[in-house]
Amino acid sequence: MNHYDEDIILKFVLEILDEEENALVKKHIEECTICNTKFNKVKSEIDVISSFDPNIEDIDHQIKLKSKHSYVWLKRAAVLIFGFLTGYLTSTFTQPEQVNVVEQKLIPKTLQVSSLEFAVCSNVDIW
Amino acid sequence: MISDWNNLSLARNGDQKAFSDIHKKYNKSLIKMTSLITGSLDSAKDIVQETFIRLLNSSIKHQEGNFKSYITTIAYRLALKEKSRSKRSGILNDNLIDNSLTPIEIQINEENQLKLFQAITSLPKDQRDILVLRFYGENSYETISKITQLPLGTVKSRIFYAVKACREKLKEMGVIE
Repeated sequence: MNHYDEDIILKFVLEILDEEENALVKKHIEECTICNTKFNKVKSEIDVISSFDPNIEDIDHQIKLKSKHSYVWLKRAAVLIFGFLTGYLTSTFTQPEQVNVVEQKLIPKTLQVSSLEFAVCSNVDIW
Repeated sequence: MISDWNNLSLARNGDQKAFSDIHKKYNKSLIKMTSLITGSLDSAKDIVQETFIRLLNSSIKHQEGNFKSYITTIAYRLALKEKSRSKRSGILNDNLIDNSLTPIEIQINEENQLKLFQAITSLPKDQRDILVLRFYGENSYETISKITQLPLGTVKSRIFYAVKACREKLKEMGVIE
């Protein structure tokens, strides 16, 4: 009786043979001691390959779940902020142009005497 | 028994216990899987944390698919992203030139575990990913085919060569006879 090589046994263990071949190999392994030994060896090697298990401390999951309650407050806060911003921006852009008014005293024309005229007049000896 | 999808809906509405159930069920296997892809336990922990956050924030309309496959896909994609990011920035190196130990190697105390880690992470990327998704994500070949977007035949062929190569490495290291 021909024995299966390790590659076929490996494919059988990995469950990648087609249905027909899988059935043949399965039947053979059940009956043949040599192939059965090969099968157990390959299976134990695959167990080793899938046995990586480092010490992973159970890390606390710090993910805070958002409750519906917190969403309501979030929405309210967003509406308030939006309202303030809209109000602020509206008032900034729609403000009328500011006019600076400087206080001026009106002096009657008759009293507007230049310094030269004043100097001339002051030299006149009216007496 | 409450399904994972139901637990997820409850967790999204603030049910801490429902979230804890999902976390306990998948946390460890996802950390193992992502650490073998990225080569870093610390990165793996961050990736898995991010996976759970994305899971909570994602908008899933259906609840019929395979939950495990869904969460594995998120973690796998994040791990690949992290791996390429760290490669670009030179944090990790696949082929360590000197004999210095990487942080994960310091964290793994058991000698055979360390050798197994080295054997798996030194596999070509294409083979390593399929092996990790199969043995550590416990996914079917059909699911792996969907996650990696590879034909089913390619997935089966790669798992075969990955296991063969890994066995050879473990034999050289004296872990198996």
